[in-house]
Amino acid sequence: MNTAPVFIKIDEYKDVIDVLHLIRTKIAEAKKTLAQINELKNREDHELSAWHAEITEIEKRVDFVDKLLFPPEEP
Amino acid sequence: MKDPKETFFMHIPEPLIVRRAVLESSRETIRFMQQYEQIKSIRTLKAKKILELRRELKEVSRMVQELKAKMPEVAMRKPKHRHVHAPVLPAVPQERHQEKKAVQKRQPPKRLNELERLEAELGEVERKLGKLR
Repeated sequence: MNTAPVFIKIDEYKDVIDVLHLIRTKIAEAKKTLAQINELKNREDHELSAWHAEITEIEKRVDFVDKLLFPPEEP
Repeated sequence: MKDPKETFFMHIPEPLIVRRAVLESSRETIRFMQQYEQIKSIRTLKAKKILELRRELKEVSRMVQELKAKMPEVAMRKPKHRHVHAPVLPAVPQERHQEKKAVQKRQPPKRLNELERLEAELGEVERKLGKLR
């Protein structure tokens, strides 16, 4: 591999530093958005599990009424 | 003879308990519907955020390309040429060969979709990285 020193013009170097700074800012923004998405996903999961608990509760109550209204016949 | 319109009644044991159970079921169902609305709004917000993230990542990608353009081109040594023997293929009749070419020509130029474009870009970057090693 070529190991000769590489140089960059000073004005371009400044541009590179600026672009790097912008990239870092954008990455920080993307990380923040990703964290928000993750938080929304957790909220959604939480809501879904509450949904599951709710439907199980409804099912239990309906079963209870069903058993009360239609008791099993005695042999 | 029995009157066909005669009404029969069924005894409901523990009517208060039954009524309470029915009302509670109704309440739970309404809560269920409320949660549905909540989930719907969370999903809408999530979809919006995903689009936002996509836009930001595209921006990062564009900036990295810009950075790449600003960096000086460094001549890399070509890897040592290794002589590879071409595999000996069985002779294909000329007629069949031409037929194959015609089939290839008839196919419309395939437009690269976003995924294929990214795949190609990744391949290119990996090829360059391989050269650096």
